[in-house]
Amino acid sequence: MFSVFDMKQPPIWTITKVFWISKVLQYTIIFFTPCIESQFDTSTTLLLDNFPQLDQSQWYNAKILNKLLSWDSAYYLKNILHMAQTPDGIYLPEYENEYAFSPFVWSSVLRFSVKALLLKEDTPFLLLVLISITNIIHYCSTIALFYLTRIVFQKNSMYKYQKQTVFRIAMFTCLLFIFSLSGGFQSTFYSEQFSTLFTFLGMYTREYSTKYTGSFTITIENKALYLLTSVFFTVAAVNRPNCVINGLFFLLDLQKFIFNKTSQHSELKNKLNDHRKREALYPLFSGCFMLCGMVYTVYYTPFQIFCNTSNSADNLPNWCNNSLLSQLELLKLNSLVPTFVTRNSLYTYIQRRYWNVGLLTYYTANNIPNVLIALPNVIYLFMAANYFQWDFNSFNLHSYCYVSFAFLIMICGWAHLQIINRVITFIPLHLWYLSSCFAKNGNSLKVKLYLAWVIIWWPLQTVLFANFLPPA
Amino acid sequence: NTETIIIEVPSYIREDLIHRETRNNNANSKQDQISLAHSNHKTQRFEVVPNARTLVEVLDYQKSSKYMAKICWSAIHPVSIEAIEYEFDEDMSLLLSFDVVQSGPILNQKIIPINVSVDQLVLGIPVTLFSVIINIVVVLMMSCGIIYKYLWKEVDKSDTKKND
Repeated sequence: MFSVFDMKQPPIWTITKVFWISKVLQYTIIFFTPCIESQFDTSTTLLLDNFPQLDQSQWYNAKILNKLLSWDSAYYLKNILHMAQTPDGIYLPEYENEYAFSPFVWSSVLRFSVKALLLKEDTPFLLLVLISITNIIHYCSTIALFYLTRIVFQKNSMYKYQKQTVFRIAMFTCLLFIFSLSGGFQSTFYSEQFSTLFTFLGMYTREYSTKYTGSFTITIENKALYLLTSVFFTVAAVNRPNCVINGLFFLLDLQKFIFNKTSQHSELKNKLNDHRKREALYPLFSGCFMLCGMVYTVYYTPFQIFCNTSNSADNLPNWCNNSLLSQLELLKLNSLVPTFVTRNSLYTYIQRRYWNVGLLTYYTANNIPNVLIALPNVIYLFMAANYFQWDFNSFNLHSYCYVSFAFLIMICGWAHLQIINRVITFIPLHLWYLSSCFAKNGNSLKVKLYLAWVIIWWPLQTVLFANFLPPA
Repeated sequence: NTETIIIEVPSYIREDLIHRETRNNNANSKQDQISLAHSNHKTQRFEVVPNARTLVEVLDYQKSSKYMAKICWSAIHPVSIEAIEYEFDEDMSLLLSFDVVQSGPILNQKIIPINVSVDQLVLGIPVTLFSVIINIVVVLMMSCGIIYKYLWKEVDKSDTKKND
């Protein structure tokens, strides 16, 4: 079972084998689920009738791929096939709630990929192409996670791991990532995988370009790569707004530059401080770049589409008239904020209106089962952040801990809690925690309990998803 | 994208009033119909007008039975199904009624396709769910087998080694 930890095998080859075996296994499970006419929710047949260009005579569509059009996949498919072109050449979704499904990033990436492959939208291979692209992105994320884990644990200043231990941690992390609690959501073209890949790339370039020598001592060794981090994090965040918490990395780096305590000798201290002030500009610039990217996609673009029309103010959506300016007038800060920055973004408005997302609105008696299935990831991520922050005492992991705590607060406070299982994929900390427990003790009970839950939930969630059953 | 209601058919209904063949002469069949003849479940597609009450007549149901009526619509149409009710009218027609309401922006479509399913309940479970339940049970049994073979037994072995 554990031959995957054989260092003689090239890691890419081992990951490739395990990854594609997992995909074959997952699609075999889906193959054996009842057909779409027997799904609990029979609306996939209606969806397919709406898109007659999707050829239904192919066996792989009927036996496997059509079953993956459950829940949010319907919105993504509609965005890919149905977005209408405006006179400006921009493709827009039909209804406002469809803006929650990354029309300008993930849906467009899939749209352009299909065109780049010189395929027409009525090809019988359309679903196959869309799902293959997502699987390739998932595969690339796994490879990126291997190298990210290796660099994080290799450069660790407090714990000098042996090469073999780092290899075991990285490989075990990849195994957990492949067989993640995301289950069936991994099998179809949801947008999470895209943000996960770019987050891991950003984390890797940040790790590669920085050096830690103490809790408040960080230096940027490769400035171009550090700046590239902000590009990766921005792509991840404009695709899935919850990835905006990656911006905390820049904030925490900036804090380390500002509060850095260097040499006691005044001359050297002054020189170093001047140098560090210049270096502080990099996280500052990176954070600002990310902020601008977010403001452009979350505020500016929707405002231009919905609020900058010839309609009278009465006909505009509520959120258009609710400018942040009016909130800041009392504080005399209104000149700092442009008019398109509204108190609620289109995304927040959509989430609240269509999915009842809001502070603690999720905690009702009928959601108890959903809370229970979310608990393993909530508990393990909390334990991981706690362990790496206080017990493990490794400086380069502290930023990941703060990001994880912020993510937990966001998910537990505002989101539908069970979606943690599918949106947590961009955070590797709980996987690192389990892997370091495994590296210390191969029979760790904590690890075995998590593995037992993965062995139950990964195929079960796949079956539930293919049958269009909750949790969504 | 699914709303359901449980229908309880009383035992005192006359057989001739619940079958299509015997009803056609006297029944008002202006509304959409769904027939359960020779089957205990049926799914039928209807084109409905949003923001209006929709009526569907169920025929060929069985006395003293329970059914789950299910209305499904695709997420690509921003509507919701509200106020689902059923009633037996004076000539014992089983009428299912519900509102198709636009749930947000003004709809671009004048008619919305929906699926109405009527499934008989056996042991309180809709008959169409049995294949899904078997599927889930098989997968769970396989998972439990893997846990027993590769995790539980491994724990056992390591405990035995420690005791040795």
